[in-house]
Amino acid sequence: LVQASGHAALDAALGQGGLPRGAITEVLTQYWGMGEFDLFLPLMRQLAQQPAASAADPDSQRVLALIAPPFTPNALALAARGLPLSSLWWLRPDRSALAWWSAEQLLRCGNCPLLLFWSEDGDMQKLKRLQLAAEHGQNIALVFRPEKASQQASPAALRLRLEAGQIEVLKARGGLKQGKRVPLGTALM
Amino acid sequence: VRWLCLLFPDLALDAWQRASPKQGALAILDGPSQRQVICGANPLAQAGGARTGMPWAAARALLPDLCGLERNLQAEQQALQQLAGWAYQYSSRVALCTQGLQLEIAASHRLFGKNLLHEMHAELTQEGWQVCFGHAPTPAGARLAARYSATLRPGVLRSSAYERIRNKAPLALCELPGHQQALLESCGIRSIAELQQLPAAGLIRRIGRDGLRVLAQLSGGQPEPLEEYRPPARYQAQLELPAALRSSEALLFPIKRMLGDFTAYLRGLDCAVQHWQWLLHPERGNHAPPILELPLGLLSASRDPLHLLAVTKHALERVQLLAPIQSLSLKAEQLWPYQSQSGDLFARQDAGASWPQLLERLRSRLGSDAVQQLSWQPDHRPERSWCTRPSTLPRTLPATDPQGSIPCDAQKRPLWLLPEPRPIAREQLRLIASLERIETGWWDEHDIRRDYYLALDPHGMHIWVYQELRPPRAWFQHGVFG
Repeated sequence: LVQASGHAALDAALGQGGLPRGAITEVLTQYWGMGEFDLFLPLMRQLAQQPAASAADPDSQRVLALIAPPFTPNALALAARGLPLSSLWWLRPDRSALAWWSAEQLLRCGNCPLLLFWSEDGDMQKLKRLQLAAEHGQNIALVFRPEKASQQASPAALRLRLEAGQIEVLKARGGLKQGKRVPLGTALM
Repeated sequence: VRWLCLLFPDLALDAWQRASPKQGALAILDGPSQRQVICGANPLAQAGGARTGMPWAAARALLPDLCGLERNLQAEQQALQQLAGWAYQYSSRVALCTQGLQLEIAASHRLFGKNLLHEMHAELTQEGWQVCFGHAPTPAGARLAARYSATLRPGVLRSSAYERIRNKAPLALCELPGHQQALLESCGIRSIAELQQLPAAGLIRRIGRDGLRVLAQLSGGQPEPLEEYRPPARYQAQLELPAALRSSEALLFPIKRMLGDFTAYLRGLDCAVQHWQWLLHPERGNHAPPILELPLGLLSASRDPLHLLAVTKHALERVQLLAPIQSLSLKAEQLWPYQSQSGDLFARQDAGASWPQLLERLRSRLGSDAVQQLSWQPDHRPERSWCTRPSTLPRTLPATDPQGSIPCDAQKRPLWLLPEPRPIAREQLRLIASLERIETGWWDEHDIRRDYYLALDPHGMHIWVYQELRPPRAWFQHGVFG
């Protein structure tokens, strides 16, 4: 029950060969925009392909949700790099509570295979709720949180720390691959 | 042919009382302001001694904390109109009468069976209406039977058949003018049946042609012209509140009532609604402009009261009430034929909401401009190369990707944009690569002349910056890579 991330080195470091489905993956960064969007773009591309039936039936539409991203997604650059914009939804809740609520609802809905959620706050209880929702929906929930959250316990199946040029695996379910560092290719240009 | 009359004996009281969940002692007042008399009192007020017809001052002396509200004839009439819309689901022949409705039920009785009255009674009671029923072969007979039912003890289903009560119904219940009733009573005639047994020739000399017509319509000897109710194409309702409400939470009770009326009306017409509007007024009546207008829409038409309530509730959570609310109106300009949603019932029981439903919920809680899809347009200027598109109405058809070729430079652009370019000091930047020169837009007065670079900021982040080509050649950050 994993999904290849599109980065072979990262998948190998995770042991199981990809990101866990039906669970939350926490990505901790010192600043927003350290490369987290870029890192998961191949994954988004894979999951965004609309099933053929969805043209007629809104019920089977694929939904990739960006919840409370720190900046405006650049539609032109995303399209240029092969992401179908028709699956992408940009949510800007004005309160943190609404953002957590939206994330949970989306995970419970069967149409959302991937969720990217940027959150400044978060605690065990909120994350647990999200974890349950992801188990229910069997989707991949990426929660981006500030680096200081690494001090807190978390129910996430996978915890990554993203730094300039590398990813560190802080926690992987099973506990095998902790502490492993993966150099991040210069995916930027 | 069989007619049913629904009489609302406490219409004046119910029209006020149903807007509020609190049930203090309440009396409805009628008459000129110097000599107001009670025309309706709730059980609590009656227990304290308030009676219909009692002067307000006298009742106030008995019950110091009795609340008095002036009778609202307009609201009563409007309530009857709404109830007629509701009754339209049971019969296509509905007419208004004094304090009530009458409907032709021969066909619906066959359709709905014996439970028709019980069903109507339960539904009306739940919506805060007290009702009496009467049925007869003629509309006038049904009215008379219903008035007879109103004299029965309240609490249970009150219903009478004209044929059964004909012999015991007092003259006062028929629609003859008061002086003629007194005249007939002085002749020793006590009941309707006795009156009907008198020979017409003699009777006409006592009560005249008009009186005779009343009797003929009662027995069916002469048809009664009825102005039949025709449902209007648009819906508008107003509910005035007994006491001003300050919080949106408290408003939910009257809102629920109004949605109950509205969806009952929609059921009557076999219609559904997609867009409607709430108007919140700081004063009773229509004089003051509303302090809040709340236009709401669904992604597909519905008539489920809980669904409409949830959407309203979420919208209310996002607004602030600037003044206490005294009156609410609900307007819907267009109603749609109802289409039942079938098939989903079993498939989706535990799968959470379907995407269209969820999208609607997200839009109503977050606001529709906080839930958007993106699109691009062929413009070299970064700030004009993207746009949002509204979620498509009425059905969420999946958006299609824009057609056309993407400018080849776009691959070099960052994934994130700042909402506005932000001035940045050149000393803080370490330029890594020169990316593109954008020099365009001279035709629409938003021309830009910039050199874009990939740069590292002091935090080690890859950012997108530009230098204006025009003096003073200032530096700006416009995006973030990653």
